[in-house]
Amino acid sequence: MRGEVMPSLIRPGGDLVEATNAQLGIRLGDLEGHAVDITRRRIWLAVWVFTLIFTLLGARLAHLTVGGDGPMTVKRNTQPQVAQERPYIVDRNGVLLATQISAYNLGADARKVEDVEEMVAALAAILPGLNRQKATRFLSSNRRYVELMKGLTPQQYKAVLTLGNPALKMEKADRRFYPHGSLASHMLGFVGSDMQGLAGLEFFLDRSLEPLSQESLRDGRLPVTLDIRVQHSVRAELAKSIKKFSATGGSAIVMDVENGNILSMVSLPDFDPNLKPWNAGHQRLFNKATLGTYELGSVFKIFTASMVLETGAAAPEDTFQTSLPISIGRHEITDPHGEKRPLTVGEIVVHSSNIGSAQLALSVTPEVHWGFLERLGLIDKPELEIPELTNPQLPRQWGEVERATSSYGYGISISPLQALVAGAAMVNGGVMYRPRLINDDLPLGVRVISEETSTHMRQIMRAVVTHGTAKNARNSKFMILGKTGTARMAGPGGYDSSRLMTSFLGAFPAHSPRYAFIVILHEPQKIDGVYGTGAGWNVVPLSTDIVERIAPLLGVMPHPAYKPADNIILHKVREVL
Amino acid sequence: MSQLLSPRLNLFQGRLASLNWLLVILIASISLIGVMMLYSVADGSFEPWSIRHLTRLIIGLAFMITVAIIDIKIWLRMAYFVYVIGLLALLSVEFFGDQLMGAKRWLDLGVVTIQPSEPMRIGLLLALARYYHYLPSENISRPQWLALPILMIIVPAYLIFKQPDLGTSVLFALTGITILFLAGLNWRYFFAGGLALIPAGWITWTMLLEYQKKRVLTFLDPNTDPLGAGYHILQSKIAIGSGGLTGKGFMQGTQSQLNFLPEKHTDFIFTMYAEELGLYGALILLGMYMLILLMGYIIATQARSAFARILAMSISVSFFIYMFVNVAMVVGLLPVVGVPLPLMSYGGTSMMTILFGMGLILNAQVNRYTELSVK
Repeated sequence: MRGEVMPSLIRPGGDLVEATNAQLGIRLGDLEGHAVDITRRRIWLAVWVFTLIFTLLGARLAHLTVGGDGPMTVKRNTQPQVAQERPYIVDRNGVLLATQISAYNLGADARKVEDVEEMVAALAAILPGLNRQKATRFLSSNRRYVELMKGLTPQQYKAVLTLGNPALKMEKADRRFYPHGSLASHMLGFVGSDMQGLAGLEFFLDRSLEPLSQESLRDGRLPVTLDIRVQHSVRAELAKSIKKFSATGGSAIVMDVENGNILSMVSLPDFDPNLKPWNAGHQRLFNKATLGTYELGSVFKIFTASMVLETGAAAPEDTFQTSLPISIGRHEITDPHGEKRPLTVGEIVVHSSNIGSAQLALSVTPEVHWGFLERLGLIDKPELEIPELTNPQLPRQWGEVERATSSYGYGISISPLQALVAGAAMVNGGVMYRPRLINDDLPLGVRVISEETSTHMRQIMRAVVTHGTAKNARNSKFMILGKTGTARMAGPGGYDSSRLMTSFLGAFPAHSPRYAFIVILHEPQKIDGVYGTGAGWNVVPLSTDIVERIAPLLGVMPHPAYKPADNIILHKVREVL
Repeated sequence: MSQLLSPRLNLFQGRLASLNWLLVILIASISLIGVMMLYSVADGSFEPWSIRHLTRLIIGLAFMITVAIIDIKIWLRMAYFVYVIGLLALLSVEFFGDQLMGAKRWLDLGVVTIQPSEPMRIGLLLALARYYHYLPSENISRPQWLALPILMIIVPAYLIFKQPDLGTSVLFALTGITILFLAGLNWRYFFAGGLALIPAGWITWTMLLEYQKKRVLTFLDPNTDPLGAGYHILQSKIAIGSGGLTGKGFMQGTQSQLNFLPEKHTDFIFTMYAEELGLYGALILLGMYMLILLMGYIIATQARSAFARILAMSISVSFFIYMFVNVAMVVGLLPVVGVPLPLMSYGGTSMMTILFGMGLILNAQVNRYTELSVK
């Protein structure tokens, strides 16, 4: 095998390693040498390919980070059709939410500019917003196209035209404008500098121009289900409470329980879609109402209770022992302020008993339990027109521990939107409607529980307000019903009792609910004059304030004489005050 | 006594001394950047990821150096053995694996859970390097000698595909094909393979059901599923873009507060890094990866035995493919395939596998003058 070194392998000035091999007197066989040569050539080929790929990655990164205002913008408006077809968005009463305004971009061929100083002075006289230093630098360069300013008004456009300088170039670049600023930011979303929809309904518009042009548009305008008056009230009240309780944020949604129309959707902090929203930071861009998933805590008990009533696993009057903690595996389930007596299904919800709730959940089979959550849409990603949606986070196993904890809202994270959609079905007679922002067809509903169960759930949730954890809402004449949740937030090191998320899922008026809502506060703090930090002390009064403001707008009449029905579910509930 | 021991001691000392310590330092540096980013992802906490990443790094480095100073003849002899072990592990996932989110990818060994598809990669590289080490070069391009390597690639690739993990399986096959290329397989095979893919793809396409086609389309263009994968890529691009030239500063990236990126401690860690340290930081990191690869190439070209040469090169290439696919994914150049960023992403199996591979590269470097018999 091992013969003489072939002279051809050591070329003059050739491969260093070959030469070294030769100096060391290492002899390679002819064929082996050939193979080594092939491998080595291919390795160098690979080196070149990879260097190229690295350059590509670097260039892509550079484009992403600094490319936005660089030469890439010269290529803008390559899709003028999209820009022109983008419809205005109006709310359900025709109030303009998003529109186009005429604007122009000003550029120049720097090579044709004769007197830079003079031109900058002339432009600055017309355009107060012109950056003179930048313009001088750009115009002094030798580039074929430099962009001097964006967003000129039609008047400014005319004034620049009258300068009559052939070096100046202007192109029409309409801008999207949102008259209400940040008011409906998360729902509307925003467009990028090339009018491409990047979030919210704007994103949706880009993806579905075809079906829209047929069904949903009215005079080129897209009406959405939002009511800007309701939106304003909800956002103002939520912002006030966030400030009052030094909360880190909050969210709220109001929905029509009879068709799934979203009347209001707020996530705070939010952003102004007119002011380069992509710089607003993710804290503001993040839509807590639909993209966030949270362990909602006790709110979940209404789903657990309706499950056992619906499946017949327990009758409304059946009682469950809740005096003693129960153990499942190594876990012990306790009630912080237990009633220490047998409770009915309704009382378990009203007094928010974890022990009772766990027993309710375990009274059905795992399949029935999972199937019920699935029927309520709590297992899958919800549907809505905006893209900011996400899958719920579910337990990895479905054993007794997971079933027990999820019965009172731990170990399962869902978005506020999902909770609201399922919650509305609990009180509207049992039909779950697909939520929607565009009202272009008949509502899409599916029966999830019987009318009878829904009636029970209404009574139970009304009792939560009259006798349970939401007593701060009972003086409202608009007859609120609902369920509170006070959940500890999960951090890197487990649950943190000092960081709470309080929520209230409710509806009004109680005798015939028409509007459902969910209101959430993130990390509300204890404040002077308020007894606690649980949901009853912050998010319930907040919800009441919201209802008091929006009910008149929605044509809901006050009902001073209404009293909760006294029936078997409530027969053991005693007046506390 | 000491006289008896000293030659052996000297041997190890000598091997330690001849280690390419620059490569070791580079590997450790990138991993420490990973530790730093995981600290930032957890909102300024060593728990739950950062501290474990660091522990794995320390154990892994010791493991890597051990791998490096073991006699290369032992690795040559063990090559097929490692491959078979990997294959058995993959098979046992099929039967005993833990099902997570509808996919069987994990194997519970009591103390640790591992993802056998990762070590299988090293097994394949070792086995193919050994195969081509012993194969006389005139046989490399002969069809009868190509059958076994193809089988060695396809069987595990199919098992991974069945888990199901399409992305990893494609990358696995791609790594294998690269070795065939490096070993010197005739160009014509690659051309023929490439050409054959076109009609094969078309025929498969016509046989697919409507919903399957839709899935493939979504895979190729995430924009067709703007509510799912495409949305995260969009967010990732915005995040990287918002970092600018110099970044928002360590711990100042706003994503860490939020959960909108699902895999920010694993697949999307580069997004975090680029957002917080900007374009300059990202280019420096890419430069460090590039340096590691260059060293791999240099070691490969210096190696005297085919085994060491193919091994060093193919591990470098495999390392590179993973890095490239991950970065290209988060900057929106490739569709979303769940591939971790080597050394930075959180994940024990991936870390150990990479350090095992790096140990083998170092081993090839320590043994670059070692002649290995081809008989």
